[in-house]
Amino acid sequence: MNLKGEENMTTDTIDVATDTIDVIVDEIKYESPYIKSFKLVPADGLTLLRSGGGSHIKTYVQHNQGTLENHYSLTNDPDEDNYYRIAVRRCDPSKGGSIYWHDSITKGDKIKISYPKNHFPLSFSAKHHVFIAAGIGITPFLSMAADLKKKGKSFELHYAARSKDMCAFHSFINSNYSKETTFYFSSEGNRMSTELMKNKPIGTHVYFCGPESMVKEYSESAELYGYPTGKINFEFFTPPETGPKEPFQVTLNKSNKVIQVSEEETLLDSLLRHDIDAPYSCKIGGCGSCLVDVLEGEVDHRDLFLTDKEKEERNVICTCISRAKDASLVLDL
Amino acid sequence: MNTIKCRHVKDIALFKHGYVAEIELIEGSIPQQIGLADHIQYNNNNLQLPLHLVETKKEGIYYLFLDTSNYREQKNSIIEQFQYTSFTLGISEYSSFSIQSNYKKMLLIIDSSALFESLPIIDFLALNQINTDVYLITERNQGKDIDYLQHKLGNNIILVPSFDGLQSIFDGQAIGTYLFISGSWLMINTVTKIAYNAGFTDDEIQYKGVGPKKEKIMCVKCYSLNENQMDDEVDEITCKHCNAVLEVSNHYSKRHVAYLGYIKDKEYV
Repeated sequence: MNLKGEENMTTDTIDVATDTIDVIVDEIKYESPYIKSFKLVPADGLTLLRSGGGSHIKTYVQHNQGTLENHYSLTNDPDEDNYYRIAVRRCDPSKGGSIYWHDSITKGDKIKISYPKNHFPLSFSAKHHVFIAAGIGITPFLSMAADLKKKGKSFELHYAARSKDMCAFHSFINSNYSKETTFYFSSEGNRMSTELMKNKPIGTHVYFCGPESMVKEYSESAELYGYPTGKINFEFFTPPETGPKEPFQVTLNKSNKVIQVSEEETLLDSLLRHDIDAPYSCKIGGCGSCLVDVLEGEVDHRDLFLTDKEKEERNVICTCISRAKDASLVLDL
Repeated sequence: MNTIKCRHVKDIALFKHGYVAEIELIEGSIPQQIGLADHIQYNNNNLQLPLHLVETKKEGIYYLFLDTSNYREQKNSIIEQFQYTSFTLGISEYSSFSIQSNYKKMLLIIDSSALFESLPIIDFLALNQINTDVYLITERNQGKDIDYLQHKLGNNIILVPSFDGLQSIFDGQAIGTYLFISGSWLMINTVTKIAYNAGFTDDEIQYKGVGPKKEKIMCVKCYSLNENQMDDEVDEITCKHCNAVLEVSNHYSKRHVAYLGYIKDKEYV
């Protein structure tokens, strides 16, 4: 299972001088009343790295409160090396990221982005791919569909939106993937149902991207219909709701520091605030980049990266979302 | 290990390599729907032989599957003494096969060598009302064991002489179908490859091999395959094709069905 934070913003001041690419906003288009797409071309005029279907980039936008850091799926053909395209839904209320992209970013602006990463890859062994998108959740499937279509692989896309007008990329999808796509517009009383996953051929893998409630409903139904967890792939926009947060203390074995984690912050936030060089990427418990070994204490696992078996057997913690079960933990950090 | 006491109720079937009886549990309990034991004690006898117990729909009544392969000569006298007596078993956890609540259908692909050992699983699936098809790879089309299966499964037991038709059978399956493969290791490797090709993943395949598993090691110098002739794992092996001394890695290739053997001695590079 995979997930990614579409609207994952921080106001931490971070050093993005290295490991980033400078790009220029070359084109801005309305894809629906609330969704704009941004074409980003390399500032140095050279080529960009090819990505895989489902990849995303992190964008760093300078703001008066610090650096706004957001993750966005690449919507262009993964073979494209002249530009990247992202799509941003205007979120109200927003933590700052989407409003800034919609209201303040203009053509010609120079911004920094990360190299593409992929926490939501296509399965190599799948014989048939079923993509299920709700709203802005369509974005990772645009690059996946382009990839598969070019390779002549079998897929189908199910895309739910409020109405045709609110359905971003509707005409693009209709022009390129009309045979593979089914649209569901709730304004017309046509709701998407989990039943569409039933009785698919044995080599089918399902992929979901949308709000937490939708992803949960589809994952649970897929399991019920007989899909093993390895054939269920999904991506979230926001951190899943994981229950009450109690303060706890961490002792860092290598740094020889003791840090208090308050109920308002994550363990990762706390580590970064204390200048600990802790690894991370998605910040919502989906990619496993922030895994740290736990030497003492019991972990309250809240991530969706580790399997149930791994949670039982491995003494590790996803610092971006998981917490301590008791008052303290000792980390190998 | 969990010790239980049972008594024989009636004979169900007698095969070339085993015997099936209905028994009643007198003392103790069996936590799983399939129980496993490696010996049986009755009338001052202590026989070392594998047996399985499967729950039936009648409370306290189980089917007992006694594998008599190691007692071919004494089979009839063992069964005679065993009938209508009480006996003690040390039951341990059965780990060769399990099902999850979301299994919609089971396909069992077995060869003749695994037929008797698979009978408890077939009874277990029938008890749990799981839609089951059994493909028995055999050139025979008659026998008491086959009759037993046909009685249990009706048209859902299909005898196939070779692996030829398996690809189209696997390709036609829907999500929710899970596989259990049992037989020789060569058979398991062949069937597993066909299953992967149809889109089954490791999560959807269980298997149980008959006999010791002879791992293969692929020489990275001449790309030939070598078989480990030892019963245990080995750290190094000499390639029988090019004589390079190979360090057996833990890198397993599904495509070659073999572990990679890296060159240990630089002079062979």
